[in-house]
Amino acid sequence: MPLGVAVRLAHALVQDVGTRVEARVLHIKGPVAEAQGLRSAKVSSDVDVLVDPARVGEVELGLQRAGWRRREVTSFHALHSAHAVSLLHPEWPCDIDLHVRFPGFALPDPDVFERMWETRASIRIGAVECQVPSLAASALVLALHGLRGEARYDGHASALVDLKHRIEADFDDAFLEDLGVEAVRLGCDHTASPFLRDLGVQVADADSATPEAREWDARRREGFTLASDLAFELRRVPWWRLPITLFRVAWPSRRDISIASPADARGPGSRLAYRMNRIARALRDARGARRALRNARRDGTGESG
Amino acid sequence: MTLTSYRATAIATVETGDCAYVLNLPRIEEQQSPYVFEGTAFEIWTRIDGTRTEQQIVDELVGSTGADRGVVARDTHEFLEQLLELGLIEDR
Repeated sequence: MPLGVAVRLAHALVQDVGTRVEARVLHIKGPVAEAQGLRSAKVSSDVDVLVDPARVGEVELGLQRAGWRRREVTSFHALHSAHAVSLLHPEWPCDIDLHVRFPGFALPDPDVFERMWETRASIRIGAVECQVPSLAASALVLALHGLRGEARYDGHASALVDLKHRIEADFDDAFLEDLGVEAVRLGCDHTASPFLRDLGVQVADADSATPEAREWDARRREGFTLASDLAFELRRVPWWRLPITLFRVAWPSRRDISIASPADARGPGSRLAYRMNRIARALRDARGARRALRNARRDGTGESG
Repeated sequence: MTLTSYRATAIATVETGDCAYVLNLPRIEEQQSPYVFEGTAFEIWTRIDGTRTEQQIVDELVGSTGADRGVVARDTHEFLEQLLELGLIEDR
C-alpha cells in the first residue's frame, strides 16, 4: 500500500474510531495542511491527530481493537515525547500519532483542545468527513512545528519558509488578522512570534509571556537540542524517580539500544561503544542544557527541580 | 441482474487513477487492512455508484473491453457477490 494512500485511510480510520467511542479528534498537518493550502503536495510519513485529552485512552483502545499497537520507544524517547503516543500496525506503512498536547501552545492541554474545537472546520479525507482546526489554527500548528525543529532539521526549516510564502502569496489581510487573534486565543502569540512577526502580524510583548512561553524561549535559544529538551523534561520527573531516570538516559538498557539501534545491541562491545557515544554526546550538549535552564529561571519560569 | 448496488456507507476509500483502496470501517476489527482493486475489479468498483444495475455494468465492460459477454457477466457477478459478503456494498 503506498504511504500516501495509507496516511489518508488512517486519518479516516481515526475519525471513525473517534466517532464510535464519542471522542473528539482534530486532524492536523499532512493531508489537512495540503487541503487547506498551507503546504505543498508531499507524502506524509505518519498521521497526526490532536485528541480530546480526557478521551485519548478510548481512542487508543478503539485503535487497538483494529490491530494497532503502541510503538516501542526508548526510555529517553518516552521522556522526551510525553505529549504523543505512536501506534503502528504490522500491515500498515505509517504510524498514527495521538497527541494530547502540541508543544508551543502555552495553555493547559484541555483548554487548547477546547479552543481549537470551537473554531473547527471539516474536510473529507479518504471519503470520510474529518474534523480539523480552523485555517488559522492549522497554520499555527505548522508554524510551531517548524519553529521547534528548524534548528535541527532542514525539512522543518524549509516547511516553515514554504508556509510563510504560501500565506504571503495566497491569503489576504483578513487572514493575517485571524492569525493574530487565534494566536492570542490559543496561547501561542509569544511562542509563534518569530513567525507572526515575519508576516507583519502584531504580537504580544515578551514581558507578557507565561512561564510555559518563557520555557519555550529558553529551549528555542538553544535550538531545541535534545539535551536542553531533556533538561526541561527531567524537571517534571518526581524526585524519587530522578536517579534511575538519569541513569537510564546516560546508560541506556539493552532494550533501549535494541529499539534505537538494533545493530549496536548485538554484542557487549557494540553496546559499550553505543553507551560511550551517548555519554560523550550528553557531555557535549550539557553546557547548552544548563544554559537553557538558567535562562528559563532568570526569565521567571519559576519551576525548579 | 436488475438490482442496483450501492457502496456501503461509512467505508473509507482512496482512488489513485487505476487503483482503489477500500477500508471497511464498520468491520475494521475483522478486516484491518484495505482491499486493493485493480484492473477489472477497479473497473467494476468505479461503476458501483447507486445508479447502475449489474446488467448495465456488464454492458459497459463488454462495450469497453470487447470481452466475451458470458465471461464478463460471470466475473462481475462473482465479484459483486464477494463485495456483498464482505459488507463493502449493499443491494437496494
